[in-house]
Amino acid sequence: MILPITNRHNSLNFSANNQKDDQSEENKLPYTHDTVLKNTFSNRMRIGVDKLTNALTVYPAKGLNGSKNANFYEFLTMGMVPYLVGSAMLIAVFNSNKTFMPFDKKNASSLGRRLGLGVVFYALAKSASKMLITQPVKWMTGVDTEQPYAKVQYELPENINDTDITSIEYHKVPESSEFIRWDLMYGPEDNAKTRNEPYDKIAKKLGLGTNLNDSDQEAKPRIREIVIKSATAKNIVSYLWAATAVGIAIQECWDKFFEVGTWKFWHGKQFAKTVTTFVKTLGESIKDFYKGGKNGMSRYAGKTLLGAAVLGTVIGVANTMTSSHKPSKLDSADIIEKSRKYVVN
Amino acid sequence: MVNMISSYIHNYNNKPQPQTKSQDVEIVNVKKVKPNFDINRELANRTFIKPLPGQGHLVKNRITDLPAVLVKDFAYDLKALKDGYTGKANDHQLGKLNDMGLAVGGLSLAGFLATIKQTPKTKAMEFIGLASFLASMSIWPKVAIQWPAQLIHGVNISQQYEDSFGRKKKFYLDPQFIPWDLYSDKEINKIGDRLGVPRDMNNRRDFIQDKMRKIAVQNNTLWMLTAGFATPVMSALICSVSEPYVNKYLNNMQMKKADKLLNNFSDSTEAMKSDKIIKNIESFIELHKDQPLTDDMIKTLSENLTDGFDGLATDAMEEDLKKLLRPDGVEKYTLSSTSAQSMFENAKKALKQSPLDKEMIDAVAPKPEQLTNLFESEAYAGKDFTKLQAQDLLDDISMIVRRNINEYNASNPVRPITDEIEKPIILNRLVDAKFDEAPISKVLASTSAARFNAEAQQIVKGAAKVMTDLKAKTDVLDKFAYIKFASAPETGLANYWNDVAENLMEIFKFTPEEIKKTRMDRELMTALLREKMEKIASDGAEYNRVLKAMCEKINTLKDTVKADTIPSNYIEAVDSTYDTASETFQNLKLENGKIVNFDKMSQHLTGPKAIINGNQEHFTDQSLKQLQKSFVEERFLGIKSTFEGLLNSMNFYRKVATNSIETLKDRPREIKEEIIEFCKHLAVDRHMVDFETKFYMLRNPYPNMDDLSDVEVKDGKVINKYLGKNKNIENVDIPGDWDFFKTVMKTLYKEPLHPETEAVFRDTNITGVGAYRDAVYKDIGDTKYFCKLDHFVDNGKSEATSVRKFQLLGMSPDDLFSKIGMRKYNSHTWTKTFGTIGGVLLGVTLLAQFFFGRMKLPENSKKG
Repeated sequence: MILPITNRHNSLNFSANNQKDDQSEENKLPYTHDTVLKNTFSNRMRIGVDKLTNALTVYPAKGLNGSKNANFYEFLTMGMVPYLVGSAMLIAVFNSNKTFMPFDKKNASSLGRRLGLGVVFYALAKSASKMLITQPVKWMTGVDTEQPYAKVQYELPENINDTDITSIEYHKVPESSEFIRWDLMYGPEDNAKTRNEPYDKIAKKLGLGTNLNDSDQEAKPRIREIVIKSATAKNIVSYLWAATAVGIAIQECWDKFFEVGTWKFWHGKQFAKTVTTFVKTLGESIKDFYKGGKNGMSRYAGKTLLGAAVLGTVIGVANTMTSSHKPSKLDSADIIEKSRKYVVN
Repeated sequence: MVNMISSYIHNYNNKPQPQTKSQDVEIVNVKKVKPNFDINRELANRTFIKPLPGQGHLVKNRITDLPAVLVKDFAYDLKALKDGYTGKANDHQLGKLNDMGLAVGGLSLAGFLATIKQTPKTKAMEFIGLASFLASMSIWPKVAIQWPAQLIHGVNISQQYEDSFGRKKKFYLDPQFIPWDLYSDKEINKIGDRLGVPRDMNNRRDFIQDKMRKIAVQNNTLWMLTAGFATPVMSALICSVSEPYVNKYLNNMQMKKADKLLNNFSDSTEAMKSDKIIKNIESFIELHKDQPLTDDMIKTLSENLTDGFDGLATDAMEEDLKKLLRPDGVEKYTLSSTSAQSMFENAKKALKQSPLDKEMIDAVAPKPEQLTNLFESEAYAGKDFTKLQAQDLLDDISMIVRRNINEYNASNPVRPITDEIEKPIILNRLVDAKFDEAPISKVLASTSAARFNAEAQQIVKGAAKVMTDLKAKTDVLDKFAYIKFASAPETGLANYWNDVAENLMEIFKFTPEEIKKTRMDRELMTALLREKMEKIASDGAEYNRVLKAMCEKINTLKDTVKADTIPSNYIEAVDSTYDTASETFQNLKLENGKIVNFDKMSQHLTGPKAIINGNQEHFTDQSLKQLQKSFVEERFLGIKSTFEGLLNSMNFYRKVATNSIETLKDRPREIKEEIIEFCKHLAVDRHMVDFETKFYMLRNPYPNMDDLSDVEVKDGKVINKYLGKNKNIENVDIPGDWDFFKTVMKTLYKEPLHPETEAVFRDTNITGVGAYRDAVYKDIGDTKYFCKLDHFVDNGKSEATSVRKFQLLGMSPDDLFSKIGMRKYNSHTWTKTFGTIGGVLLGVTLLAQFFFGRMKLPENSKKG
């Protein structure tokens, strides 16, 4: 029953058929086959919102029913829920000081608000700091380790009436270092040249040479290496940046910000003031964080933490850029003896 | 659908196999190998193309395997890091690196937060916070998901397996890829029995597997949905629960640390030594050697030598140095490079205070150039002179002034300086006064001819050495005293205080409702505490229980602080430190063998000298040595008197309840009632001001003096016959009644203890209460008060300082209970809030699992 994915152009759709006449525009599936998406901010936002919506609605419903179609992707995506709920919960725990006496309350709320900000900063820094690795790698190698694609998932019908058996998942092309979706990295199938074009570009950036006969085969081992090395760096460095961000968030100068800050964005002037104060306080807190306290270890704590994060990032990027796979010195054309006959399977 | 497919596959696999296999390639037994490549031979050789047998297996660890597993997993993580760095890692390893990143980031964050926290406990709590968070992340799925699921369904949804490459993974991680072959038929069937799957059904294994998968998927989803709520709450609860244990552990560690300081006193001193004083002195010597020793220089030297000590030490040092650095006998003076300028300025300043014109002053004051010329003349250049010889110089300066006057008169014939009026004023102001004070000669007086020569340098260096040593030793002593006895969080005494105080609430059986009601105001606590104490005192058994529990808790001072009085080794160390320094200062031997005496400094350290028993000894009362001891003594006193005062109050309530107060035996009943009422109030609410005002109370000015009967007591309370009953007479304070003050003091602090109280004290070895009562009676009760005359218990000769009185009184019981009450209320409410959230969440999670794994049996398998 399950059709091989190469049959995607045949109109053998079980449901959600976007070619059926009676289907309205809205019900059409956005993708009919696995599609690479542009790695733009708006796309990332769209994917994020889509995943979050599913994580809060469809996937828990499927999971709690024990659906036979529940899969690892859905489980992972649902991992966003404890992250968000947990963050909110942490902020609540830090700020639950209603019953405290006035003096304790003042101190607790000052610390609580800063720790709450720390939770937000942690999450922001953890995801944003990954760009510190992926962006330089992308510029220097042309390999986008965050390239998203939409995957069309064919499911088993839940029951006899279930006709909606496709679902869209958002993955990244090099998500798995072992099973990189090489097929999605090829160019249009029109001819050999356009087909290998993306690999040509990468090979050129990687210094493997230009005008290669099989740039894809040359570049693939290097791409895999880049994916693994940058993932290693990302996994460790992002937590260091997150820790640094918490360190910045708990600086005492934020107290002043909380005194004047407001969330009421409809109070235009006041809110604008809040934003400028936020930026100013951020600068101040980074300075305070770097300077640290007067005595003992605290003088070096901020510098050390920031230093570790920066150093980790630099080493991570540098390591990703260096390779043990040296480009072959011989042109591939030279290895193949032209006088001989070859059979290509 | 899956059932259909899987049952089809199952049937297919189990269908009777045909005798002869039809194969795509004909396999023949090849006896004779054909030349080159023979496909049939290769295919016949089945071992050649067979995949290796799978190495995967379910992970079944016993608790005893844990250390080995931890080591193995850690080694795996390290290899993952290496492979990741070299670009050879697989997906599983990269996932492990994420966990490693979480730990590294968490640790560095906790480390950072710890550095900005002040006390050991707050530092430790940062790490405990991280650990509890990580622990909660793994405990919640175990406690709320995995174990209940196993109990209810018999399925371990967190089952792990190791694949052929040694990668440990969760069995149900991806429901679309579950390596069922790792479970044997026997195991699956056993689980099936537990799940209640009928034994006689077709495709039983498939059905069981499906059910297991369903349970796993449902539980994993539940985990994701609940973890966000559960982890922070659990983490907070773990921290809150672990805090007392952390307190205890850290306290023990701190106390050991403090004891180590004193036990290895010389080592700790060496470690604490700083060469700051010596270095400062050396650079001072470098800068000023062989220069005339001015007062300023001696002051600077003294300040540097006594760096880190009190101002009086600096004064004593200055006095000693002045005496030692300037040779005895005839004092000699010299001129320094700044003398001329100073004399000019001083002269002008002095003249300005006279009624002379500014113009006149400018003209007559000896100019710096004139003075310099004089000083550089043969008579004075490079010479030192005694006071007598200095007179010549002063005369010569007077001559200059006279010359200036004449010159002024010559150029101002209209308004000259007259010999009768202005001239004497000028000359008197400038020279005619004491040598040390007159504007010109005092410049000379400050530039003693004594120079900062080799011997002077040796004296200062010698003192620097002694002071460096003393500083290091007192630093160690201060550190010891701070850790154990300071009035700061997490010191030994503070921990003891908190521990006893918290326990008092339990001993007195305060309910959360009572705490809630009284937390807003101390006055509310005063009333409640009185009620409680009356109730306890009215019941002998309960009184014994409470008093015994209190005494036992108070006795833990020895365990918490590792000392219940000022420790003798501390006293010894203080004595030896100060005595040694004092003695050394008295006989300081210089490098050249000469012995000098820093008398004032020595007396400042160990007390002024006095003739005691015919010998000249140090009178230790006003000395740094005494100060070093009294800090600890006072801290002890404050805390002990708080608790001893509470014991005394309890005793009084018991005495009232048993109606056995001897002091009041012969008093009229109305007075008895008044005094008991007042004492009862004072026993729970005793503040310094009550004692200072000698007890203010509204009483009947005309009490009934004829009724000498006993008071009536019921349930610990006095049933008043007179007090508050007479509505006709306005009650007033009677300030002249000194007897009232005396009797109250006597009733509370002199009245013999109740026999039961004494018995408990004896059993629990509480010894301080007697001394406490005497001290309050004498030191606080016997002070004269200017307003209420004759209000003292004996002869009014108490000399206790206000600090001593304050410490003796300690904290008032109602204050004490009110403060702990607030704290208890806060932590109780906090625990209740989060405990409830956690409890409800756990309940819902557990309940949900009973609805999991429900599946319809295939039609044809249903029984009956």
